[in-house]
Amino acid sequence: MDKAKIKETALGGLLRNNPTFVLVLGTCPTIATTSSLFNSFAMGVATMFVLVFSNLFISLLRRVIPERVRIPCYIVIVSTFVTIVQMVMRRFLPDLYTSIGTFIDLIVVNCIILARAESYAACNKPLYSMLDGVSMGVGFTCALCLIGIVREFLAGGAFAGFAIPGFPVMDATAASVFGFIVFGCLMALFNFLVQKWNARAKRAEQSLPLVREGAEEVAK
Amino acid sequence: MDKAKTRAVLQSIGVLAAIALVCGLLLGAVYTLTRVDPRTEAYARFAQDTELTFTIPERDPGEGRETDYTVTAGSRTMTGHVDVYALSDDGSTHAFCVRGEGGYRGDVQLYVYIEGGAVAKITVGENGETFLGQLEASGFYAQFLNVPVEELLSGSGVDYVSGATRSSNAVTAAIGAAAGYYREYLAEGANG
Repeated sequence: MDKAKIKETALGGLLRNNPTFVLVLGTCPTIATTSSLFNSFAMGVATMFVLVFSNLFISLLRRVIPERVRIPCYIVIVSTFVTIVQMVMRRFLPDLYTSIGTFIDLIVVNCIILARAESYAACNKPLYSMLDGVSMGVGFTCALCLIGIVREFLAGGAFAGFAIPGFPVMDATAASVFGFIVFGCLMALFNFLVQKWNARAKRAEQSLPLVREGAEEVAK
Repeated sequence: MDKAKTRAVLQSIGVLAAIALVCGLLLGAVYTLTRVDPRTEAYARFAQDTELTFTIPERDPGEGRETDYTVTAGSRTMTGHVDVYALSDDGSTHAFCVRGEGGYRGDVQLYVYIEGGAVAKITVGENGETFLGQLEASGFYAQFLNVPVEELLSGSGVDYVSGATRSSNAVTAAIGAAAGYYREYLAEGANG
């Protein structure tokens, strides 16, 4: 397996191609389910499960699925895994299902899933596709959790369901419009930090040969 | 028709059908593993809502009884269904898992509890409605609480929530079904 490709795939979904903050995909569930950290985490994990397994199956069947029916095939595969998540959640986590169940159905049409199926899983090997699903899923979950933490803190004066004493509760910030504001602010911050990190990495890469050359001269 | 084209179309249909079949089998297997008997689920919810104990009897107490009710409120006529009925172990609370037809996204499921001939508690069950929060916020359920069943079934009007009329209808139908069942089989002098 190509180590560079593994590294690129594993880090891609977290930073450079983060589905929420960079590709701005799946905005509907992002705003709808990030009212609390717990809901955000659950939605992220559910999406990650669907991403990993749909990517795996689509990648396994990539040579079998004819070009002209690829989208219906992807939809059938994705909706199967969404229904599995729904059944399992309904059986084992009924409270959570009551809370975010409506949005679980919508994972079927989540742009992240179909985008990764079409652009990655359909032209890469199964293991890379699974890794891409994990990476994108973790990136999505982290982004949702980050937004969830800020929104829960502002609207409920709490962290992960535990009230923070002395913090004034601002009820109005629970509205979706504030969700968009928080989302926008975090997106700007994330992109600023990633760009800075990329620039630093680029600088380090450019300066590396000079250091080596210098070291060789000293050695001589 | 071109032979190659026909073959390509048939191949596409075959692959899609095969994928759908495998996915269907997988879903069937997961459904079998995660399925819960609706009666067991309802009894667990009754216990959770009332903090009382409800023991599942061997024979369904609602067996052979009418479960579909037509409810009239003002000029409106609606249909509700009683899915599960149970009596608490201490005999104080009649619990109903009911459905009202005509909601914005299908049937609305409610859990209705009747104590001493009046509605004591209403909780929302599984449904796809997005307007039920609106009903709760505007105190829609409160107008049914502590009202004797006879009064509920008198056909008097209900204060509907503006912008959530269909959900209001479905909720009224569900509560009406519980009240109708209670009057017919459980109240003093009933057939039960």
